[in-house]
Amino acid sequence: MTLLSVRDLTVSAPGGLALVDGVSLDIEKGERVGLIGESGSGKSLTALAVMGLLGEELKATGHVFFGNEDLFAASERRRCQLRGDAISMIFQEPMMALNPTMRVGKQVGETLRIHRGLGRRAAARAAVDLLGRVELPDPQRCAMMYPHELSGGQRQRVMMAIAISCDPDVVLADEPTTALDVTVQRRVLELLDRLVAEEHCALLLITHDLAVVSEMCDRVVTMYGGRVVEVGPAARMLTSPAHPYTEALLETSLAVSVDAPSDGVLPAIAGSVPAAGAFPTGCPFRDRCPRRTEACEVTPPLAGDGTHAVACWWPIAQPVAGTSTR
Amino acid sequence: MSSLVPVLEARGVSKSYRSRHRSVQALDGVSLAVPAGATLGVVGESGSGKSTLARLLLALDQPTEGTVLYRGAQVSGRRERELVEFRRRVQIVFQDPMSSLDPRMRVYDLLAEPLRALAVPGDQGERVAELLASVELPADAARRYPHQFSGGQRQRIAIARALGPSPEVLVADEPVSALDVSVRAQILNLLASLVRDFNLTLVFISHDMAVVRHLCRSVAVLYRGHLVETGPTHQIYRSPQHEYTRELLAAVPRVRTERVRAH
Repeated sequence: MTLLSVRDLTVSAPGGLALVDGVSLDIEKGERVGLIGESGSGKSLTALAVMGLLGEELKATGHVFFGNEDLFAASERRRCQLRGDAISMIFQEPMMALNPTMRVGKQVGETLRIHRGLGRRAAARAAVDLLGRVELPDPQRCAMMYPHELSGGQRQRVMMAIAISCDPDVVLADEPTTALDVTVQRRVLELLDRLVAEEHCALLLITHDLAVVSEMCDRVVTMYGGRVVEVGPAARMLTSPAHPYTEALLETSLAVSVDAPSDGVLPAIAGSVPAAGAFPTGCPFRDRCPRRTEACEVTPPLAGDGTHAVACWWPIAQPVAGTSTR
Repeated sequence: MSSLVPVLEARGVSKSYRSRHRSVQALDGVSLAVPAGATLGVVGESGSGKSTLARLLLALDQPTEGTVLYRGAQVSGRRERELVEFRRRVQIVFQDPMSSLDPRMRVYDLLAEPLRALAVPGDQGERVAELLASVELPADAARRYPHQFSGGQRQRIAIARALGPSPEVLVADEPVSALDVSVRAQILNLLASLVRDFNLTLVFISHDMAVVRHLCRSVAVLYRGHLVETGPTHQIYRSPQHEYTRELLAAVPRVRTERVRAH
């Protein structure tokens, strides 16, 4: 059964400008979905809308179904019950997400006190256990520290401890390793991979890094200009994508590699991501697209079979089954 | 002067920063020579001392020990007015153009300022137009302010500003780290073509091992203030000798087409 289903999600700024425009995506139980795209594509807003954490000035319409329940129709009280419990989130910058004036143990225990009704002592004990599970050295001592006394990687582990504290069904992780050094990133990714497996929970991993997606996810959703432009199995999206934008992202990622020298000119996408409101009408990518024609002035629908869909009038031809492409 | 003399050289440089309570050794006895025409990548993680090394090579900071030499002549410890020629010849591009470009100045003035300050001869207007063309920005960009440009375009402005005095060395400190992937490729292509067209010596500071492999012919690996490994790029990436270099290379995520999940 589909665990989380986003239907026609639109997030608009005051004045009606759509920052997220008709996004639909599904996450199955235990599934790992990667949400890719450059900054300004609407990835983070989509996650915040699912969490019910958009700022008051932003207006979300559409539906977010958790099981059979439409979260956009639910009371704030009900949303609070689910947030941090069945649905939790990991943010990019833990220094902004953690309370700087509260000891780490108390912050981890707080979720358990609210959602599980644990007493102060029991929550403190559980917090130490959780800090151990995210492999923080000396969890007893860690629990007594403040966020600023920890390194960036350690703070991200604390966020992960909070996120898994109530055995969530789905974790939304927004660029969880982008701010970390590469060796720290490697260890945090390994931990996230293990925790998600142990908890049997689903993961929505938001990242601009296709390599991270390829290591972590079963399925990939590409967003551009506030819309979903392609969705499909990771193995297919990262070998033979159909949307020219996914293809361009993949080309760029593969061209700069630690494993092979790359002489010559890198493939680049012309222009840059426009500011919100400055995307062209029709296909949002058409200004930068090498395959554009007049047809692209009309918005292409997201169309395809049950597993792979693309919003493009001129998708890149898919290889015949059985032939290798790359 | 012999071409064997490195254009920039750090000899046993150390740098410690002191606060009231403690002192931090940011760089510890680093020796590094940058020959003319080199493209050197300086890699390491946060706290490795790579930006400190950049500041010392640029004589923006003084080493606590050791010396920095430009074409065999000491620059560390010199007075600023003795460094005018050095400032013309060695220029920098920072990571975040939004904080390195004065938001109240038009692009024309941003590009003309170093020409005036360093008394670069020639017609200023012509030079500004040339610089804009060399970083592939339209001529009318001169009339606008930094905030009117995208991140990638702002980095082009910062690069044009650095090229103003026709430097022979460009030190770039994480110049593409703040950029989206599609724009990153554009700026890397631009840097590569500028290095080629203007015979620049490039010192490229980065935490991104893949980008360094693409752009640089030699590489220096810093770890906690120490230089742990240096050599030709192809050699170090193929057979890294130091444990830390191996760890750095292994940690980089790869685009895998077949997933291997351990459970």
